[in-house]
Amino acid sequence: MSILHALSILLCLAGGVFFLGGTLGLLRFPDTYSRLHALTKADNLGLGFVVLGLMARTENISELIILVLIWFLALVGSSSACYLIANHIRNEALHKGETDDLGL
Amino acid sequence: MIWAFDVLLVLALIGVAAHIIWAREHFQAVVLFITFGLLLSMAWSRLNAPDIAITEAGIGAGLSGVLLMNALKSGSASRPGLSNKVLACLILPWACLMSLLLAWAWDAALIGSGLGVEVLAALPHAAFEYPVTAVLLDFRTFDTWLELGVLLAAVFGILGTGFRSGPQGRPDLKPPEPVGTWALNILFPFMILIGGYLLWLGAFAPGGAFQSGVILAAAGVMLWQSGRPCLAGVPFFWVRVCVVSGFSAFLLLAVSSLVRSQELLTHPDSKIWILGVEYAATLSIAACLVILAENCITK
Repeated sequence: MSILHALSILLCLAGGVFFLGGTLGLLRFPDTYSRLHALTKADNLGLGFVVLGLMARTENISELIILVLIWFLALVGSSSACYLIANHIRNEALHKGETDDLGL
Repeated sequence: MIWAFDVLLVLALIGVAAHIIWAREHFQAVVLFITFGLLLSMAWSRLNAPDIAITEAGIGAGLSGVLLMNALKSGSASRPGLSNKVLACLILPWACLMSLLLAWAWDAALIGSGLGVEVLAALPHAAFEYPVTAVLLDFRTFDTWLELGVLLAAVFGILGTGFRSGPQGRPDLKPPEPVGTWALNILFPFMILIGGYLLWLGAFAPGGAFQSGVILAAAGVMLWQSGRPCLAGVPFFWVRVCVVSGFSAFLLLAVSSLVRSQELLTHPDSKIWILGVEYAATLSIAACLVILAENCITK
């Protein structure tokens, strides 16, 4: 049991580090595209680690499935939201004729 | 001495209300409306209701005032922005009153425990095991009925003015978006499932008609955003039936309780009655919110 506990704590801490990295990126990166990149990449990885850490502590199979489902749905949601936001910004920049904000 | 203040307050309320109705300019009316909200919140605090006073000051005077000001600015482009002097005259008393009320409510919250004890004592007679749902649908049915009425009135307003609608009186469809469609295909079944689950859960755990309705509405808005007919795919007759179903279910319950010569909005002991009302309310909330979103989201 204690090994599982230690593993769980380690994984959750690792997830926390990735969340911290993503937040730093959100605050410090210069443009929306890189900020989106920091948010989606780092946070999804962080959430994955936290979910893995919590999976080590589950008591039955249904809790396990719910945790995996949460991670999966968050992945689908954040990756498509990221694309939609980036696409919207790109379309607006194209519409205005600003080539420097295209991220090209 | 305090009764003189009360009389003054009442006179001021009536006077300001009359001024709002007779105000020539919209701007003047909005400023008076905010003043009216502040006076009204003082009246509520004189009636020993700190929670309503705070709500009135925050939403009635503050938020509605800002919204009205904003609407005024976008309505007439020539009007210059609010001068700093007028703004200070409005914000300063508002902030003072708000902080006083908050301090008082903090005190009151420490002393009284509200109606929690009474609710828990009456819970065995309710149709629901979960206290929040029991309060919303069983003990304070009238409030919930009126809330659905407010939602209905908003939808009537939007449908009546044809705000940003397409050629057939419906909002235009968005062009389909590949990634949005992909996400929708995965998320939509889950949203319907979770909406239904929350509705079922409301009887004995956090959940219920409002939460479920919001999730179903979000599913509907996603459907519409990804370029598919959401409510447009349903005959308009049935959309209207969905929109009024919640309000009418409460109305039917009220009428039936009168026919059975009981108190208004009471129901027989079986759960079917109140569950029917809750399900109708969910449908209604979802349909109303989708209509509001379809008509208010800018392209």
